[in-house]
Amino acid sequence: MSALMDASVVAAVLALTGLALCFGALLGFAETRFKVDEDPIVDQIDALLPQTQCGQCGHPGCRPYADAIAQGEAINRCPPGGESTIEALANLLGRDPLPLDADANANSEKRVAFIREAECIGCTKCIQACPVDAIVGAAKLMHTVIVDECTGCDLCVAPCPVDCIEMHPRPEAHWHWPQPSGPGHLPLIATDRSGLSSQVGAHDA
Amino acid sequence: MTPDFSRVHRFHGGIQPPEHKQISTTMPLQAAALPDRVVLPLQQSSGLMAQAVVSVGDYVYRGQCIAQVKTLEGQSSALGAAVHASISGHVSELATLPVPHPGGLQSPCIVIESDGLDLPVPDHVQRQDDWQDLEAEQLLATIGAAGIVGLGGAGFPTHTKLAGGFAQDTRLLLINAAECEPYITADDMLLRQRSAALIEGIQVLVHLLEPEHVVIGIEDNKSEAIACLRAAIDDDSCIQLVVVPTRYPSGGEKQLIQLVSGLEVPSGKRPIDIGVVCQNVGTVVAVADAVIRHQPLIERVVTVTGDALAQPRNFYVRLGTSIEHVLTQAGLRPQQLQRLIMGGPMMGFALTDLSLPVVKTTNCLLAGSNEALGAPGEEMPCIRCGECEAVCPAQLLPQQLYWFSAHQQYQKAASFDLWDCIECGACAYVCPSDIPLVQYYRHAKDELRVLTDEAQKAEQARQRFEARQARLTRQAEEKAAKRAARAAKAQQIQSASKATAASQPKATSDDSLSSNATPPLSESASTSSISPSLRSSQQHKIALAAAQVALKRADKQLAAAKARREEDVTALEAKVEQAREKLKALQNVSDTLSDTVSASVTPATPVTAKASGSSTPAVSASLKQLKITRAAALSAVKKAEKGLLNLQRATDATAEQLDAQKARLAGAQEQFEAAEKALQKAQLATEPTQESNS
Repeated sequence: MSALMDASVVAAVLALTGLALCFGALLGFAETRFKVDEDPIVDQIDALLPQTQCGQCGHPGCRPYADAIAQGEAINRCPPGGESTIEALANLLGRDPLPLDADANANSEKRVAFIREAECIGCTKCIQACPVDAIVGAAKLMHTVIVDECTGCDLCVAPCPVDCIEMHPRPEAHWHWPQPSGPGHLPLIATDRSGLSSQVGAHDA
Repeated sequence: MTPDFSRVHRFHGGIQPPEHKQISTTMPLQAAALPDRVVLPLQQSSGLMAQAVVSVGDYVYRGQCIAQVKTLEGQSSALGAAVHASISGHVSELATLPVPHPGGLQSPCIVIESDGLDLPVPDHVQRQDDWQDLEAEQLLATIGAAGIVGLGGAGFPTHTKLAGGFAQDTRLLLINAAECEPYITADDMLLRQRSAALIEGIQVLVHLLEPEHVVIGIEDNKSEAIACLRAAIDDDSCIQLVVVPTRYPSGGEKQLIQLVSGLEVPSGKRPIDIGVVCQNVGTVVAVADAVIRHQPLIERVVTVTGDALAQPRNFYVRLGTSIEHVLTQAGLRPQQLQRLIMGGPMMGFALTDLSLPVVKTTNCLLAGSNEALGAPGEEMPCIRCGECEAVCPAQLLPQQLYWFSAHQQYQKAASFDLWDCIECGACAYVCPSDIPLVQYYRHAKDELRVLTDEAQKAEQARQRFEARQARLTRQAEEKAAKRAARAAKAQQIQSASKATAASQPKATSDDSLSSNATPPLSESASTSSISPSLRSSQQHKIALAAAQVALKRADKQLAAAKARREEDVTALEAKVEQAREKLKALQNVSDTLSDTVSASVTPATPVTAKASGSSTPAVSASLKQLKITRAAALSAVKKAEKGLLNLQRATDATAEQLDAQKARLAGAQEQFEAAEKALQKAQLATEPTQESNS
């Protein structure tokens, strides 16, 4: 009888030990296999930032600001992103949207740097300042801005010793349909309105 | 799902606006008079802009290609349409001119002044004729080279669309002859006159695409065209004619597909994704002209209609003809022309300029008065009546889309399938509040495109930023590694030199300025070796220069202090004196040195010619140095004189200052004399050396 008891106890212990080992191995495998290297929220925040890399938030680039936001920094420090970015960040993080923390005259107009090439002395200071390598040139040779790559961050303007860089409004790539002026205005599209009352389409389809 | 051609299906919604088609069908389709001048925009398709291949002054024949589209890398064919001269004559201008556009934009154009002869390209007739032998790629290339775009109004490059159909399995080739929009009769009139050409075009497309079914879809209000088509289609041919009821927008691609086959194009997909290729009648005829008659797209049928015209009708119009030229031939009554619309009243847009050219997508010119076309009403608030939802052929929720678009919630509008909107205008037509709904949708679509572009740009900027950061880090690391390596090397050399210095006499490592230079010199002289003496002479030169600089600096400080009228200048004066003494001592040393060098050189010369050869530059260098010293001393004298003069001139100069300055002058003169003497001595010493060398 006691031998039987012993056998069942041993079996139970063995079974539980086996299960424990099994699950331990499973968890260990899962930990290495599905390891998350970085905080995924930082990536999500980074995706919402405008990537101008302008440093107006006080961080050297958008990614560091995304890190800082994840650490609890205010979400309203990004002037290029404007209200829409703040709103998107507020939605993502479940925080209250705040008014933009910037100068009142900071406009969110898209801009692009322009080098007055005749005045450029080729000092390469702006090239070193550009966060996205959007300025080409070499020492003592004229520099110019790659318009398509310029984020309009302003960082090249201050280092220029001869003040030959200015910010221009970015030219619109395409013509856009304007938004209608709203109720109380005449529409712009030509539409044939004659015989409207008698010809309204049937609803039966 | 399989297509079902047994019956005519239905699509959701739709409207039945007054047709006004009979206005322009009373007169036969004819060619318009040739214009004197054509303006051909380089952008006449929804693809890429063509690039001009002619220059100003060139003579071009009718049908000659004047602008081509570059084939992008990784694409088999160019996404865009070539442009051909529509008349013969000289290219007079390549300029940016106004083109038909809802925003009144300007675009690059080629202007050709006609020579009135309308000569075709000479080698046209020699081209081989049998298109049935052509491979699919060749056929597509022919169609692409002819510059054919969708003539129904969208202007999508036809060869690109057909290439898509060729690459995938085409089950149904659908010829769109519905022409549902009011006023327009261009396809109707074309069918009445050229239904045989349409059949030829269909044969070309069948040869290319090998579809299972070929269907021509046509609205039941075109009885004459239907009769012509029935006559043209052989009984045994596989072409099927489906007559659909008249209801706008049955001519929409997706709507017509649904009408004839019962198939629905899924949201966000194209017809080819369900195996359907849809082509407009005009496009198919143009394909026949291009492939069989080798005629590129240089003219199209344009319906010229409206109550501002005496003879509304259809014309074959050469592309690039000015709208005014076309309207005049239809009997334009300018006083009644209040609104000019390109395209139909539902989807067209208003133009304000009669000089604009007819382009490939100009299917209709509607010139009318405000009474006939109906003045656009004032926009009023939405009353949520739901009429728009009932008529939307794409089964969207126009009201929701309107709210989202009007309140800049473009992403939400997109999530309500804004991209499936075909902009047919049915919703705006029935809206009792006269809301220009389609314009809201177009605006929202443009904004969404901008957002997508911006997201793409942001991603690109992020990648560039990260690449730059990585590069900077790498460079910093490399620099640090280099610096460490250099430091290690320097330390190694230093320890090695220390070891040698310890084993050698103290003199070589002794570089103190005040040390007496004579022992090493005498040593070098005794060993007849020149290099150590040269080295010490160099060291002295450096020391001399340093002393001169120190003197100069002290002088300057003194002058500055005096200029500031500081009382306590004696300390500075003492400093100057000290510097001067040091300089003098050094000069004395250098005098001795030059003596020694010349002395050491002279006996060495007979021994080895090599030694004397190498010593000559050293001697001349020390001579030069002495000359420089003399010149510096001279300038010091002059400076002192000048200072004295200034002091004498100054009214408030004290006697002490004058005395100090005088003393300085005397010192400088003394120095100069010493330098002069040293130089003469050195020159004397050198002369015999040079003589012995020569």
